[in-house]
Amino acid sequence: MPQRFAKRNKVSIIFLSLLILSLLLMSIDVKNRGKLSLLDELVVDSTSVAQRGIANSYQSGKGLWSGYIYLAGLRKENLMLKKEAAELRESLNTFREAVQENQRLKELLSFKEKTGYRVVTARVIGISPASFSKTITIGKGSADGVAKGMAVVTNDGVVGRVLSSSSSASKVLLITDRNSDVDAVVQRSRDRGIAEGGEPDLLQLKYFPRSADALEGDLVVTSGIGGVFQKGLVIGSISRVDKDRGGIFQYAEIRPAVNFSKLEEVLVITESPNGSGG
Amino acid sequence: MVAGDKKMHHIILLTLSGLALIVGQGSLPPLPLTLNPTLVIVVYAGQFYLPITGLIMSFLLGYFLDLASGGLLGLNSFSMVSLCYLSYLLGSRIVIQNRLSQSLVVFSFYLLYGGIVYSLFRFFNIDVTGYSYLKVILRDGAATAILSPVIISAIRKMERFLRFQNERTTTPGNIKI
Repeated sequence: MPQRFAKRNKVSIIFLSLLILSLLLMSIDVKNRGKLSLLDELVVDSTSVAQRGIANSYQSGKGLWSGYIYLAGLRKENLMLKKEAAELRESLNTFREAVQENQRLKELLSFKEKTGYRVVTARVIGISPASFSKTITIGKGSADGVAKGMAVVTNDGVVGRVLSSSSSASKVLLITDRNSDVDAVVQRSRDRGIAEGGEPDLLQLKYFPRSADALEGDLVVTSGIGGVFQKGLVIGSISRVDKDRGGIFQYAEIRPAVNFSKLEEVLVITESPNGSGG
Repeated sequence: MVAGDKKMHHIILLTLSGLALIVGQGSLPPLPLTLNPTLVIVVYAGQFYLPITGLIMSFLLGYFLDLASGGLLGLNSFSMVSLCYLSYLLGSRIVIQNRLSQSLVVFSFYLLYGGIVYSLFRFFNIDVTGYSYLKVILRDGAATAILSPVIISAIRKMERFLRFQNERTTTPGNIKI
């Protein structure tokens, strides 16, 4: 009898089993946020290899497009000249890319020199393919000293925090993600609030008292409370204040200092000058 | 419906294509919206493949999407399995033969997907701002719906190619000695 029941309802049983398995996965993940199982780590590691490959091919393709195909009309002039010009353009493009990369890295290093933090420079190798999470994948992992909870920044400001690390790659939760909250302070008035993600490319300053003093354009920095972000890192600037919205609190929007659509390299703060971890 | 034993390699290839799309999408520069080709594949599998293989494929694709996105592990596997089952249950009641119907069906499924994810967020006490969430659902749902005929057409081309290959290798005249 049970066998007949199982046979007749095979699809429903498998459907329910998969749902229960998914719910179990979610419960475990909610409890141990950021800890990767051996299987997950294996998948993340192998994915990061593929992502690194695709990211490199994309960069090469971009270089090829700007340095060669786009100016293909010059070919007709002379075969020799074309070849030479293409080679020169390719070299120039490579040179320009190198100069730009050098500039970006210099800017990142100036952050290190200014603050004295011990940092690890990492390349962004992937972005989240899902609508409901704003994360990036960086090409440095636990083997490079990157660990869960470390702050990730650029010279412009705060990017996010490390969510999980495998040996060669890490997931970074951006400050614009709805699950991200950063204890923040308005630099001018020193009034505190919690900078939360959720709106596309904007942050909201929550629990910000109505009596607090904030003006559009005011810089918002990390307060140092919470143990993840060091004090004084730039989050962004206030783009909108509305005292009539938000009940006992006032509504304030923050435009992040970092342009997340142009992130190529980031710094992971592995140690503060006072010796505490990131 | 596709005959199971003979078409197992179809679903394997479809799963691998889905995985490649997830990895590829995650490696591209950030776009102002996020497409969800996985959802299109899952709805298609629910309609045209054997339910058990379709459900397992949906679970795997969802799980991989969770891993790649760094979001709550199990969120997309739960949603994709539910959508595949629903697509299977609806069966011939929904028509996805022309581009417009494909887009409309995918958009409706995207709204359901948004509803499932929202419920799970509430269930696990994850803070969600209703208005901005709805905005993301409508924007990404519309983009995915517009793209869905291209994905479905690619899947059909792949199936035709595999069928052709299969016929070629099983026709007696083509057997090589």
